[in-house]
Amino acid sequence: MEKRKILIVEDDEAIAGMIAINLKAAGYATSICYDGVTAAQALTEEKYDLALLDIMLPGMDGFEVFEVAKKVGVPAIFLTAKDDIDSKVAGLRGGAEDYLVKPFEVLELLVRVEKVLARNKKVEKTICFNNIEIDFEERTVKLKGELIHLKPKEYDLLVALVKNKNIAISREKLMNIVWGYDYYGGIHTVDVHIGQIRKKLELKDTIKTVSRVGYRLEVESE
Amino acid sequence: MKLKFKITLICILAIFTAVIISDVIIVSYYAKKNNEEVMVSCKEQFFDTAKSYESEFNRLGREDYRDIFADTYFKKMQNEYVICINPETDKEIYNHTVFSAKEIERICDVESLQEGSDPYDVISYGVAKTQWKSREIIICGRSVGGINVYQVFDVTYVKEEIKNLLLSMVIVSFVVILIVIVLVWTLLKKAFLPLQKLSESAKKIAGGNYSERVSVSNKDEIGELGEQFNVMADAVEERIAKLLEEERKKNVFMGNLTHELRTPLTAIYGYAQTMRAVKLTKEEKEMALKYVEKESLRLSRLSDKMLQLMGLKEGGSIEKRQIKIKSIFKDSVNACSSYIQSKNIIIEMSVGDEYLIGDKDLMTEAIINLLSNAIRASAENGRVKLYVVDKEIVIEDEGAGMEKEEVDKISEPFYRIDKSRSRKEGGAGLGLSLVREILLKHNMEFKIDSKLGVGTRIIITYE
Repeated sequence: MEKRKILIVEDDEAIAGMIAINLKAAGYATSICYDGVTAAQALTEEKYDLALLDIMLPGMDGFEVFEVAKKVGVPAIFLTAKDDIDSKVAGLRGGAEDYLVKPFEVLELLVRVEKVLARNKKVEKTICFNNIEIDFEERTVKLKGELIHLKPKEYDLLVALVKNKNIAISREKLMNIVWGYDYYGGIHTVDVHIGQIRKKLELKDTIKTVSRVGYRLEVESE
Repeated sequence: MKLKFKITLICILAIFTAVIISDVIIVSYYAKKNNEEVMVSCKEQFFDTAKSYESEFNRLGREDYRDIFADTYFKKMQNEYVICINPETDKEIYNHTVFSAKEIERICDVESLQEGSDPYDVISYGVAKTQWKSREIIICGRSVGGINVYQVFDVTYVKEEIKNLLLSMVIVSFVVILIVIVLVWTLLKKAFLPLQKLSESAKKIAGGNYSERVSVSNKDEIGELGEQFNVMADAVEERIAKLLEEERKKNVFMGNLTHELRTPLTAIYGYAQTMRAVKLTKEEKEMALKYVEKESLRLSRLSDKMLQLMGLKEGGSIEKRQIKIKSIFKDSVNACSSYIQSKNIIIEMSVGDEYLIGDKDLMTEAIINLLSNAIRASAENGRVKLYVVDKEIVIEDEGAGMEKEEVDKISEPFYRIDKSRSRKEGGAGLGLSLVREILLKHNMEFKIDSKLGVGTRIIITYE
């Protein structure tokens, strides 16, 4: 399946670059616009799946660019350093999908992007890598065409790693995503489940243990 | 409201007292006068009765027939309320009263009276009350032609007249008081209306409507109060507006500062997370580190400028010395040399032996800021001029220039004309604020003269 394209509209070079690296690692195609006018142009010329909009932009501000995005049917997430209520309300009332207040967590950004894409039915139903095929609708995993039985928590853990591929996720974060915040089991539950996934799906080398951070599913970007 | 009631009450009390006192005076005077008059008229009447009987008796009467004569005479004359008594026998000769001879003699004994010189005074009289009706009565009596003649006068009407007078005076008094109440009330209401307006306006102003004014056209103290009130409201409005403007500026400053802090923080935070979590290529890692370094420097620059600005705003007076402008220019150009080289800018300096009085470090800082702005605005290989003319320091570039609206806003903290470009060039957005504060310390000013596409000229006037 073709990569989903995300337009980053951010006038700060450093932030734009940082977002681009992370989205690329997570398997998205990105382009960057440093001002509102070129962003509006890019939105009308090319088909994007999602736009990340800074609010304070030279040329046109984020809200004006958002109007263009709405016209061409591209969902948008606002990135804003202004966390005043007014701009939040203006953004959400205008139909923006979500907003993030700077400084934000990278993982948080990826989660929001994923959610917005899912809401707009822009996520794949299946994903393939390393002879593995995951069907998100059926909740099944095949290795070399053969169905592999995974426990529900093992499946959720795999999906969390796959959706944030190439990005290390801490054990605590995985715990939160898969078991929820109110789970009081030991942190080693994660290690046990990772071990199971590695064994069942022959992912010993793909799911890397990143020291002092957590686990990372490494997949070469096409 | 309360005052209105109080004044009305005082008025009512005063009028009430006045009316009561005048009523009492009038009634007592009238009563006294009436009593005297009635007495006199009774005496006169009785004098007539007695006199006419006396003359008739003298003309026709005889001593031995006096009883019959008297009886006949009074019957004929139909003199009402007359009683004749024979003093020797104490018998009634003629009685047309409700009293008996004994009662009459007890009240008014003629024989004990002495004759006086006054024709009326020879008549004695008394006051008595009958047993069956409480009536005021005057009895006059006299010895005429050998018999005692008494006449009884019913004078109750005098008392009744006084009573009626009192009643009508009370009614009139009440009507007067009522009229006074209505009058005082309406007058007070009218007089207090402007005060009420004043109080309403004060309430509105207190509630936040600072443009509220009163329209009191009275030419009295209240009108004066209204005028003073408006003067006060003007002052309050002006001051509030000033405070709000300062508040707004502060908010804008804080908002901008937050933005300026968050942008580099977002990048640093993001890159740090990325480097920990994402497997990066060597080039990507290098780029991330470069950005972390660059953004940290930006933060440090920002904090430096903030500190300088705050120091200037709070600090006391500065040490002023004679400084050669030439050395300020040289130091400034030296400080910007790497920036000048990177854009290959040509600096044209033209300055003689002019000097100014001020703090050298601060003035150099100001010129560095203005020079950096000029270089920033210039294209590569551009030209920036620094010169002194007629007590004016001029910094001129041939760069992008600005529109007029931009010129007005440019010295506000964190204002950027072209945010992406100027941030790429490394400005903190506080340069002109700093320059303005420095010049303020020196009692100097600067002017911006700019044309879009032609260039900008900054002129500092010094003494």
